[in-house]
Amino acid sequence: MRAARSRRTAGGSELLRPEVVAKLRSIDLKARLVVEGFLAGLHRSPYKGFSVEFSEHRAYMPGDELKRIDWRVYGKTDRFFVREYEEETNLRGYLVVDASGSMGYGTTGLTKLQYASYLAASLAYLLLHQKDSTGLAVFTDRVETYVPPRSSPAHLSVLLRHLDRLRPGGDTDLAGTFHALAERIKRRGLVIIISDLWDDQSRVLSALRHFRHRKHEVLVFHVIDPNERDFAYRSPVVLRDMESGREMTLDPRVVGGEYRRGFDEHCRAFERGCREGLVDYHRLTTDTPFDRALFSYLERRHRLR
Amino acid sequence: MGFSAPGLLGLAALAAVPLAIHIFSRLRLRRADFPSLLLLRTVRRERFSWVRLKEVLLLVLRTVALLALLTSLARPFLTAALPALGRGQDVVLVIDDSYSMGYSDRWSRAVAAARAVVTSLGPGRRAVIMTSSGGGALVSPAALDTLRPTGSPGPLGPALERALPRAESLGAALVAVTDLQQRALGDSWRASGTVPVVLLDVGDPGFDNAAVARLYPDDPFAAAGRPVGIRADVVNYGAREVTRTLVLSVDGQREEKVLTVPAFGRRTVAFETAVSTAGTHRLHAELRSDSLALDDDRWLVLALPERTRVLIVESERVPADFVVDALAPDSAGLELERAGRADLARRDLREFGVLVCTDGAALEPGDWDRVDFYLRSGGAALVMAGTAAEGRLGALARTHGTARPEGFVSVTEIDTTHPVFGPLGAGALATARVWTHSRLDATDGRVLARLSDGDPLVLESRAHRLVFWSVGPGPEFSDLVFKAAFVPLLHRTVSWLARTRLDLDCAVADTIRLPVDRLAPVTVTGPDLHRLLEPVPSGSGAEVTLAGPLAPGIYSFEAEDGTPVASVAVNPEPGEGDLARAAPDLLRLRGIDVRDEYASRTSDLVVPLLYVAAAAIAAELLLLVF
Repeated sequence: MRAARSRRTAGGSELLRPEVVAKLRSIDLKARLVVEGFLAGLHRSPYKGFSVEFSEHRAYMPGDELKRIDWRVYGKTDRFFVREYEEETNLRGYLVVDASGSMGYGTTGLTKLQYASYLAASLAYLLLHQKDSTGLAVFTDRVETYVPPRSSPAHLSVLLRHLDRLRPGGDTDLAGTFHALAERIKRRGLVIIISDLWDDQSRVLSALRHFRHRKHEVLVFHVIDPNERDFAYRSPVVLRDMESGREMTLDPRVVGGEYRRGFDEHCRAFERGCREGLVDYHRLTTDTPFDRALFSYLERRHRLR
Repeated sequence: MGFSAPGLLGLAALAAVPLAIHIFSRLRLRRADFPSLLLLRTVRRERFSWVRLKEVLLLVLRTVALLALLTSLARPFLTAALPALGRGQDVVLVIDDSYSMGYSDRWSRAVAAARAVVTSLGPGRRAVIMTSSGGGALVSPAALDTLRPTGSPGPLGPALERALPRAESLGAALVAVTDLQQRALGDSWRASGTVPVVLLDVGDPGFDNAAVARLYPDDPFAAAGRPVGIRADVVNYGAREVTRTLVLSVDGQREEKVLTVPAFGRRTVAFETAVSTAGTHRLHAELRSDSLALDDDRWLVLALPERTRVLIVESERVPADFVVDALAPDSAGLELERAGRADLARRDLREFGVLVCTDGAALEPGDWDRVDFYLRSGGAALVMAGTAAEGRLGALARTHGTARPEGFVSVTEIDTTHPVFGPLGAGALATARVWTHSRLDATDGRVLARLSDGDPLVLESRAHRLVFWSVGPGPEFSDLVFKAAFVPLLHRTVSWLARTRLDLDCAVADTIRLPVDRLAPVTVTGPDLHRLLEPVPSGSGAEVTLAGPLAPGIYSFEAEDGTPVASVAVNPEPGEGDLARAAPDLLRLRGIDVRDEYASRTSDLVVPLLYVAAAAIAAELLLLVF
């Protein structure tokens, strides 16, 4: 299934590369480009048809679920057709974006926060395009911005305006913020968290379970910069923590291997913890095309149907 | 601890280079933002301590390796304390600073030994320090490092002689730090018996040293107009043949000669360069690539006079015809003027370089007074006594009358070491017969030639530039005037007297006395001094005195208005370069305790330092590998 998906998205994915998207001037253009490009690739995919309101018939294709075959049409025509629906749902999507200081890091021409805001904008566009109510929460060590979910098309501009104004700064308190949001969001919905997850693992995973406890579906996009993973320094360097400002002198030849192993374990621990807590976890580097994130969303959305 | 090459010790500062590079590289560390140090802090906690330790260890090892290598260039050595020396009593310490101490690393070892003596004294004890050339002047222990070997021979014997009474009065031991040079100690000095005398030997049994022993013109009676060749004697004091380059500079003109001198041998080098113009010429000979530098240089001031005016005073009894005939061929150098005895009173003798009197017996007391004044004013005279009666030669010489032996007397003895007779040879006057001569008293002079009856034939005054002949220049005295030797003898005698008024070659530590015309200050400029000298009256004129210049070189004397007065070459005593050592056993027989354990207890630290450097480098490599 994953391989087939990759083939299907290959045609439009050039336009969905972060460095291409970043060149566009306004965030709504960026969101539109991502989503339209993504949908263009999606027309030939079985994902079209998550709606509950009938839209049209189309010829059966291998892979289509048998329950979706319209047996009446089969009786009339002796050919298999499946029913397609416009989605109609009362899904509430909550975009939770991390804007702490560490999100200002970027070595690919795009900071993690920029990547996160474009991704959030694209998801907002897509959610609203599907008539879902969409809200936004921006946090650092506390909730900085909270926009309640709405489903009106005009709400998109509100969300995009907030996302366009995001600037990195401040410390991170993922666990505290998630707990606060879990208490604040009363109605169950899909919580999409976009963060670099630089915080204590156990506390963050505990907070994610809090969302689950409140019956929310949770989708975590772990945004990292390639250099965070590769630690590609060649000579001794003084590193400054972007949140605390503390400095540390390091010889990458000495600590590089240890760090890379530690980082990999750090990510795996999140992945494992999320899986155990029934939370979708997706690791995205800032050079990952946006469609992969959107597919992840759609997969999750499909399960909610 | 001491250093044989302390000048190179400064290089040890380069050992700080790794530290400087370390600090500099830390200052130049790239700074970069990073999202979170959360994970790195954990990693660093695990790795940091070992990495930091390794870094510090590498830095220390590198610095130690470099420090050891660079310090070894200064050739350090460790001096052990001197046991039972001065711990219970005060010490009078004499440091031999003669120029032989400049050989190899002797001087630094001597200073280290002196310091060891001072520091080994017990509490409340003191050291009185003096140098062999210092004439008894005391040196502060703090000034030990400022001392240097002087150009003087600074014989140790007299220095010990001076120090002994001081040691006796203090109840102190007398300690000398010396290279045990044979000639410095002499053969006569003995310890007193009441004062313990210890010589600390810093010399070496084996040595090689060559020296320019003499620099001189090939003609001692040089005069302007004739080219004068230059020669140098090079002596090899060592037991191995040496090859050296000798460089001669004459008034800025240079000439080089390469020569090989056999062991314990001497070579005379004749240079192509010659001087011929009148005036003062400065010559410098330098022997290159030799181990003892102080005796490798030699200076010479060569003053070629203009034509010398010679006044020949004759009497009716002893005319000057033979004298004039003998001297006339040398018209280039001498300007002869002939005068009768009666004219002597009307002449200003100071206008003449040399006065030749053919008949000393004919001079009146007033004439002798004039001659005496002339000689005291720097003049020179050859007086042929003739048939002088007793007391007839004034105050300048004494006679015991005239001798008229039966038959004749001949010349039996000639001083060939004198420049006048040297080239003539011992048999030059062997055939001359003398039948009448004055009996000159030789008490106050040097006999250059003696007759068979024991009386002097040629006598040189010690007080003045004055030579007496006991015969007159005529056949009634002897047949000398018909002999071939007469012309060169007369010519060389006049030339010898006519040479410059000052002996311009002095030895280091000599006192230079220079006659001057006026009682006006004279400025002297030498290699290490520039001083104003006040003249003092002396005899009929005045003189300035420069006491004991210690640095070899040329000293120029100038009047207040810048007019040159004279230039004097000051050279080290040539024999000081002979580093032959005194036998310690013989010295012990003279009551002198010689301790050579100092040398044996001095540990050379070069090899241990090289081991340290190698070990540090090996440890560094091991650290880098693991």
